[in-house]
Amino acid sequence: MSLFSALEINTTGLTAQRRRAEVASSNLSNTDTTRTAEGGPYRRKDVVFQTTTFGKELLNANVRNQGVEVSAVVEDTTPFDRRYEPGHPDADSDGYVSYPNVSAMEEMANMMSAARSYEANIGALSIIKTMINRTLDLGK
Amino acid sequence: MNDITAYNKIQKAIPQPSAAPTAESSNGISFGNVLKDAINQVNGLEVNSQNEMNKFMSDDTDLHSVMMALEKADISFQVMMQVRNKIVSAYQEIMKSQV
Repeated sequence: MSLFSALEINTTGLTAQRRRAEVASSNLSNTDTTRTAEGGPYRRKDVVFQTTTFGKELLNANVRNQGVEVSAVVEDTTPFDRRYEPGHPDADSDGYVSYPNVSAMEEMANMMSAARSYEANIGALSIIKTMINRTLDLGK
Repeated sequence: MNDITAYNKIQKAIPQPSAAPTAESSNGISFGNVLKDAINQVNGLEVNSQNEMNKFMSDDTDLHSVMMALEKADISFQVMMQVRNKIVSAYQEIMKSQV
């Protein structure tokens, strides 16, 4: 239904931004995690966004880059933060502990950006909803 | 007397349909079927919103997907109601007309 394609596009935006907020939450809560299932400290994760083709009508009009999706969650390969803590159980032979390459401030900024983008999508959705409702008012 | 002759003239002037009128139009799509399809579609969206709600309850989907399904169902229902109102008001208009 063409009436809803704009709504659906914004829904993909909501999903993608929520995923990004999830990843940022995961990073934030693991700022000091030194043990993971794979071994070693936690590595910062990041999302990669990708456009998706959306809707028959738009495809026919040859407009191919519409919705958005999280195509991958990748690991940040920057080196770990090494701190001298000889008493720590995960310290290496030199007394250094590798802490995750996560900066809490950066993650908070990321989180806020995701929240703002989410809000922008909600705003667009409510505008489209208002447009549809206004059109329906024509019949009253 | 004058009135009756005028009426007869008018009746001759109106072309009489050769066959009994049917609801089916020439290409086989009747208004009733179109309306039925539209109502089915609206119903499908309502069912979809219910499914989304169930999925949300069992933790399978996002809140915004549920809201979006609800919105779609609501909007399509409103469209259906508008169409229905139009049909009913047209019907009432015809019923009110003096014969």
